[in-house]
Amino acid sequence: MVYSIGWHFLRDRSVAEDLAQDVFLGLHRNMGGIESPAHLTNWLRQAMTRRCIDWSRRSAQKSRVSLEAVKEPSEPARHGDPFVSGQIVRAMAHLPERSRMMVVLRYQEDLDPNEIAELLSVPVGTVKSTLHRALGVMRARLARIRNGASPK
Amino acid sequence: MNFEDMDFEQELRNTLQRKEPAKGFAERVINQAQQSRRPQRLRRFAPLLIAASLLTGVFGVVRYEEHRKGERAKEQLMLALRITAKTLDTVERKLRQ
Repeated sequence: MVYSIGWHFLRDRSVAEDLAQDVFLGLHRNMGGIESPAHLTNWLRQAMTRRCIDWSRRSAQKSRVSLEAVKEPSEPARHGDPFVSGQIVRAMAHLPERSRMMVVLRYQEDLDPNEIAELLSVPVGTVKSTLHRALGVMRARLARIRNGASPK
Repeated sequence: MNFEDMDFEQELRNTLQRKEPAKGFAERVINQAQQSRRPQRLRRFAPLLIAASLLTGVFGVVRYEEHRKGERAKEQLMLALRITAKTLDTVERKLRQ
């Protein structure tokens, strides 16, 4: 879960591992404050989410370049069309950081908008509208590819 | 491939399946955690170490004080003996005269 959030958000294996390691070391230091398994899951998700967004903001230029240069997934999805997956990954790379994280939390972690809102400390309405907009942008991009037009 | 007909959200779920980190990740985290624990362990024993150092210091001061008192007593005794010897000499000399 922790590494996977970083991987889908950043598409950089080594950075995702570094951030995940940092999260687990943070957990190790704060283990006394964990009250339940649900609290633990939430703590891990929140810590990784924050680190990913912080890292992405700190290295915005570098991150944009690496995400735009993202290749087809090396491991094809177990279900679905690998070509579509590749295009979805590219379309996600063009989303703003917060939108991209919301998509990861919604479709990787299967969180509902209320849970995402709580995790990112934003209103539920913002989550719903951001997700709606993000999916619209991605659909439009995929549709342009289907029609043989330039994705942009 | 018809993008309009596809279940876009399902495709997103397929694309965003959870990924596992590379092999050895857990071991690396555990090693890091153990390394970061070392100073904490020292920190835990720090009060004991400080107390031990303080006690050693206190015993040292006490022992030094005793040693100094002993030296002073010895000096006083020697002085007393010297005075006594001198006094005895004087008394003896007076008796001879």
